[in-house]
Amino acid sequence: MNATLRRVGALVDKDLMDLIKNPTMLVVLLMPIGFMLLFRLVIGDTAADAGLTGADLASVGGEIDKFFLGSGLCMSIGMVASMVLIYGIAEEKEKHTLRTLMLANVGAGEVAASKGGVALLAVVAVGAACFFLAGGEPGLLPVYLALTALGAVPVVLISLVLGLASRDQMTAGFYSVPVMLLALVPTFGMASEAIKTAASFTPLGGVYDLLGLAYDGHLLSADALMPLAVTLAWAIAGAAVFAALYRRLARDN
Amino acid sequence: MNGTHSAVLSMEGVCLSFGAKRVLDGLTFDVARGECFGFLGPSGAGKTTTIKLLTRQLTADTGRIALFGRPIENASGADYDRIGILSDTSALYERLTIEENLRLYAQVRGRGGRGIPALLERVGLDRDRKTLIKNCSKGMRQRAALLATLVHSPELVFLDEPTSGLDPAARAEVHKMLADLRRAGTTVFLTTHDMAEAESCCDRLAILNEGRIVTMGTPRSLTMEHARNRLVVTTRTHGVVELTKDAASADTVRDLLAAGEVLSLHSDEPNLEEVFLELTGKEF
Repeated sequence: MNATLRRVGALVDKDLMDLIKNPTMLVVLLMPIGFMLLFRLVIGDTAADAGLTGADLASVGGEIDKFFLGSGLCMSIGMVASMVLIYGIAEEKEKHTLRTLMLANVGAGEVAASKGGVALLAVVAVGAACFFLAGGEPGLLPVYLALTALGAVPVVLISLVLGLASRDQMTAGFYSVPVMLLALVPTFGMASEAIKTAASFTPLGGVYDLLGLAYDGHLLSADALMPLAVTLAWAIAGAAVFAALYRRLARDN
Repeated sequence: MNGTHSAVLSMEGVCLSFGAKRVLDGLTFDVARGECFGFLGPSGAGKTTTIKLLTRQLTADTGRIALFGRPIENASGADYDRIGILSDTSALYERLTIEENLRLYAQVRGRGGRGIPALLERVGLDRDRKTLIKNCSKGMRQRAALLATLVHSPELVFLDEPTSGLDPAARAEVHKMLADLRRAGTTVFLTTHDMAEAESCCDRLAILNEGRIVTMGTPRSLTMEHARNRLVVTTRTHGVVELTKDAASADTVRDLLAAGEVLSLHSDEPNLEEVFLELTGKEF
């Protein structure tokens, strides 16, 4: 156990250092932040330019704030977790660093634990930046970060499996785009009721709805049960997929 | 097999097939503690596959493999912490420095980083310790990868063509590291194409061809075993005289010596490269 913890600790140090020194990954980390800035500029101006006043402005403003916060959450998880993990593991396979590590008595589970942990940390850090750019109330931050971490669990697990399944970075691109798109589905819920209903059942649909309830002050209500169940179901499904495929995929090319 | 009980590593009757193709056929050898054992063979002979079997990256179809005296199936994580493996594809993290990479492997292996400066100094990389791997030459990368393999002072080291593609200077550096390992009593299993390297670095050699060991012994014994039955005498007045090693030739040599004709006299033994070519019929 001590040896495993020691190895995971060493790998976390390495993965953090490598993440910071990797220009591609820095762009990935900045993407959600850049999109949030863009949303603030474009959608913020549109609302102001619409000439709404009084209660209408307050109502629309509240929905826009929820959209900003939800988008920040979905983009942080969808972009960062999928790209950092799937590309990160694929690069290690392609450049044989994963093989070299495994020949140094490091287990695939230890690599997955380190990469998953670092990806989760990156998601939460980017999520926090998006929260402030979205103009979130500081009091909501702990709930926002907790929901971000909870929502990231299934995406991290599925991305780990896809990373292990990727032979190289080309394959990683093929696998990461659907994960990213699926994670962003809840942000399109404003388009129609049908999309909103369908989006509620996607991996991040639950936490997106929970965030909306938290914004309205209704997180501890019966309305939270369904989105919570969806979120937990996806977390369990992600763990099941990981457990089922991990042993088959946990080997180098 | 000689001295299986003291052998750090052994194979007995090991066979492996990929589909219908038999890639290893009845390999039997052992490697004693502190020995540098060379595995020679042309490309595709099965050298890397043998290392993969010995390091449990592959499983043999039949035969027995033992590591530190125990069947390899029973080898524990602690056993694998006693070995170091430099494969033909070993690679370090390009965006990290040489020192950061070594620190990673030291931590992974449960060693502190205190010994790293001395290791770097020993192979002349101390001034480059802050160089990113992506900015290193191939020779520097290979030396750094070798250090990462040795950072935990393993008892047994597998080196798969460690000098492949290196220039003579970098090759000499790796040879120096190999000599240090031998002096330290580390057991080394080395695969190589380089006959001079095999001859100078290895205590014993096995030559592998098409999955079979065709001969095994010390470099000296291999060349003697394949010595031609010939004596070459350089004389003052008759030029170079070639003689077979028999009683009649002995008389001729005696006469030439008595006449003061002999300038030089030597037996015509092949070098390791010629033995290799004779046994495998292949260039390397």
